[in-house]
Amino acid sequence: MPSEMITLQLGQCGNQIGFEFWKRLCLEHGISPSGVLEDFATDGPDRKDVFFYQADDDHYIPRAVLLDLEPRVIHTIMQSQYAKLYNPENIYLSKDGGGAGNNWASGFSQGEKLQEEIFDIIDREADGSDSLEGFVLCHSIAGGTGSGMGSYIMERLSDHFPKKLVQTYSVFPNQDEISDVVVQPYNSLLTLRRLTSCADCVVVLDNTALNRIATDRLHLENPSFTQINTLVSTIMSVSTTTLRYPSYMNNNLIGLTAPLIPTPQLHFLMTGYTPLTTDTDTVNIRKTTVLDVMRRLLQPKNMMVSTGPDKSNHHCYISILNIIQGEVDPTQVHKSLQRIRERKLAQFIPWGPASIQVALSRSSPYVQSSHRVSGLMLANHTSICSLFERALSQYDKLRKRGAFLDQFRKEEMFKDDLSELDESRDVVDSLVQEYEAATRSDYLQWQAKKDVE
Amino acid sequence: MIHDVILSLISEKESHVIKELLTLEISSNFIHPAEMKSLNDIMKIIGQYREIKKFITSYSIYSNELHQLDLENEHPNPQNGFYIRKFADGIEKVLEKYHQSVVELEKKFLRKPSTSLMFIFHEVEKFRPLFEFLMRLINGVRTQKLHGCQILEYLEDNSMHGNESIKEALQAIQKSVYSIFIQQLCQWLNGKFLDIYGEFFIMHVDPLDMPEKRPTFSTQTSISTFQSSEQSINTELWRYEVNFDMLPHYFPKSWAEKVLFIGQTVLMLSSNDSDQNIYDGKEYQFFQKFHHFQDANKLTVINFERTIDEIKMCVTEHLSEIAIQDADLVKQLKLIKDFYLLGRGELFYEFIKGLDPIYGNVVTENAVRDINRIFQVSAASVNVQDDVDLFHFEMLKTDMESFSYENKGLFQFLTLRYKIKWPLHLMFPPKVLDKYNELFQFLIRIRKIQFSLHCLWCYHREKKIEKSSEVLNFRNKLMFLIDNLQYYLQVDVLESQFSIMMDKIKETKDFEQILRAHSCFQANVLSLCFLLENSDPLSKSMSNSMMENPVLTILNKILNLIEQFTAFAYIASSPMTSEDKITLDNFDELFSSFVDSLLKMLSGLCSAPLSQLLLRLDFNYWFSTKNLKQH
Repeated sequence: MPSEMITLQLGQCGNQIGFEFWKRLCLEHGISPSGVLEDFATDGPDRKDVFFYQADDDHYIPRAVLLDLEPRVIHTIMQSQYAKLYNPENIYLSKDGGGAGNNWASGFSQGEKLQEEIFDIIDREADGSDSLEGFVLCHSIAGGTGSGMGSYIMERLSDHFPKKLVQTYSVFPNQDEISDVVVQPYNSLLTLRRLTSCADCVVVLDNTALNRIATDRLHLENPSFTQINTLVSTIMSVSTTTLRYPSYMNNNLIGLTAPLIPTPQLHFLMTGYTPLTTDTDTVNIRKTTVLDVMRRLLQPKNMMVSTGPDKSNHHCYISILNIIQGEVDPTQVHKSLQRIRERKLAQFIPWGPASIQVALSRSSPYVQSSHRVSGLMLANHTSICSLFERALSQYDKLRKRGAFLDQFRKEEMFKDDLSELDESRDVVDSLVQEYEAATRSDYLQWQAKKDVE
Repeated sequence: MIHDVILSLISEKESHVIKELLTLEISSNFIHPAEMKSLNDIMKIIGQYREIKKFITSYSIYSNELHQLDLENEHPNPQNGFYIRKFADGIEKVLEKYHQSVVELEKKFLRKPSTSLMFIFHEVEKFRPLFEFLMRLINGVRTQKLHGCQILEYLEDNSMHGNESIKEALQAIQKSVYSIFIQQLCQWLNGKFLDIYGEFFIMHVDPLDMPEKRPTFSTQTSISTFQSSEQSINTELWRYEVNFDMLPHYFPKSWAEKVLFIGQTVLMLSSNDSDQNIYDGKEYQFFQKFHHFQDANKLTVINFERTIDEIKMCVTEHLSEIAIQDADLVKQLKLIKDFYLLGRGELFYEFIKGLDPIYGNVVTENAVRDINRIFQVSAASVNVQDDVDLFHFEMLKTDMESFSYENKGLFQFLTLRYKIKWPLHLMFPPKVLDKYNELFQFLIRIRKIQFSLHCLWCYHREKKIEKSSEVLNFRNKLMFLIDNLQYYLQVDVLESQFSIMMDKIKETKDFEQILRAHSCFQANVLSLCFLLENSDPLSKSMSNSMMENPVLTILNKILNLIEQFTAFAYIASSPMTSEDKITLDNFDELFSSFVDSLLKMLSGLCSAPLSQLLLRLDFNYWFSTKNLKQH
């Protein structure tokens, strides 16, 4: 079973979105909550083996490792009807169950302590696959476990499996509400450093934008976690759909990500999805064309990342991949591309060739969608650096006051000095600079100069 | 004496009495000189009759012991054949009227012996134009060496005659010849091909003695000589062709092709053991129609056309029913797309990955076995076992001397064989499958190059080569081109054309429409993949060799360049030495010039597929603006 992916779910948030992801995959592949293939799904043209494997008794088991330092979310999963889906050996809960206290440093050091047990699980899972292609990490960057332990695991993964790709679905904190995690800016910055240096591809799931979409576009007054997570699971499942329902190309993670990420550093992807509706919405009678979908995907309001207004209007797309599902007339794709180009609906980098790549993907026959056509956009856009700028400025504010650093000093890593924080700031800052440079036409020369330094 | 004359009217041999009568001096004693003239004229008519009769006896079926010998001879008389015999029979029938009148004449003479020679002459003279006409026909057939269906054409050409009796006579002859034509036609429509003398307008071309184009005796025997009927039926079917030399010009060519098609369909259906009846039990009714034509006095082409159309409608509808229901046509077409057109991307990804270790090796017969094994393993790993059994690779029998390995790599030596599901043989004749192989070789080569670039991407990622961003940037450009070429091929070409074809197929019940939709699909895909040779008539007439599509030429150059670059990128040091730098710059320059010439070609000639490809490549105007700056 080639090109397998192992999913690692870390922390409260990571396990929640991971749970939603698996629910969705089970639905799409016709696998019951207990892992049994439904009768109607026995002759599917899909590839279940990328994300699942079959146990001796033919049950489908997710290639998933569930990790957490506190038991709440995992207990919820284990009490749900999906309890029997997972391999119990792949569920790791730290014994003290005290959590990381929303502290990156605590998560990181606990990860270090528990690494042997954790990597036993990961190694076993990796050995169980024929030709593992990579890891998918689900976590949030703001908390303690997902960010701290996630950072540690990311570092170890690139040592342990240098040939395997690491893709993450990273949840960025909601900026519109006051977080109860006061050290969030520290956590975010430290995680961002690892996302920059250890991950190959980061799909940014911005809670700010997700909440905004839920309230503005879906008209939900107080969007619940479940509703937000449905959005997330949609993005996760559609972005892996070309792996699971293979067609002409994009059948493996390299094929999917390599064209999106021309320079190794700039690997933070935004997503957009259309149509955005809730289950309760009445069915739209409007006819959706490929052009409609592609045009809507380029609108900022459908983006799952809140980049803030681009005042100087200089940000641009480095690459775009649109995965379009449903009843699509393929002959329309070319016309849509032509129209988008004529109307200059998307601005691209001036230093290299770039275009909108459109992958027509099959979708699950078992999930009825009320929409004729739906589309997901994976985009590499320079404006994503505004997210990092925001993280930097929040960090700077906190750091200037020297606030809440005591919690960090308690841990081994920060005992002597806080250089780790300063280094992380440098990494993130140079990432922002690189994104800014990528908007300019002299980016290649800038890059060459950097090479020399 | 008169009686002698009457007797000699129908005798095939010269009568001595008459001969003497004409030559002896004494005859003038009891024959008036005026009568002598009549006698001479009568003798002329008798002479013509004898000529005609001689022709008839030499060909007539009723006296053909001689021809049995002919048959066994090594070289049968080219003038021999059923058609000419029937022609002779027809003439024989025409002569019957003459025979009758001679009998009448004799009766009259017996009743009234004083009947004058003049009276006889008057009675016989009526047949002179007919005899002259028949003589002309016979001479025509002889001198032009007309054979088989050509006789039909000749008769039709002469059918316009003002003289009613001659016209009637001609119709009778035509009817006689048509009887064998209709017999052959019905046999063919029943899937039997019996044409010993090569007279029918459908011929069986045996590849073994191609140059002679000697028709073989019957397919029934030749099929049985093949070991596997699966293989044979497919080759056997396509050995039948329309022989336009033999097709009477008043039958439209399309009609002949329809007849060919029906026969092939029936043959193909009969190759399967199932007792499917293609005519839905209507064959009796249909064939009866033909025999009715035969009975009618005047045969018209329109009747033939109508009936053949009717039969064809019945056959095609029935065939499409079988094709869609039993053979699952839609699934088979999807299989073609999945395999020949690389629709199963994951399978071919695994396949290319599996081939990687042996890719550079010299292709031998053993290698093909390995390749097939790799193909099977790849298929098993992605769970497509069922369908993959229908496909296997074969070594292309090419001249190993002209081994230009650099050119297209391993795949140009491979053909992908497809086990055609019965009864779709009509849809996938060998020529069509050859074209699919051409597409396959083109597509899999691009796929392989994309794979190499992905490997390079992984290599760069692993080595964390950040100090040589130039290599990365050039790699990205190449990757961009290949990716967009792939998207163009997949979305704009394959998926688009496939959906157009499927829509057409869904709409129609007629198998011929389905066939047409399919050949349309293939032709479009070939042309959109730039695989059709240059259609410019000027360049074609100037050189006999096929002109490669100029876009394809450049694409091939680019593909070669990418292959060279990927090899280079692994050995280039990081950071690059100045030598490496020069090599890379060379690559870059070449690549730019290739893309530039593609862009120029677009402005030069208005070609829609190229513009579609370039829209993707030059979406952000990077290539075009860069080139502007350079100039």
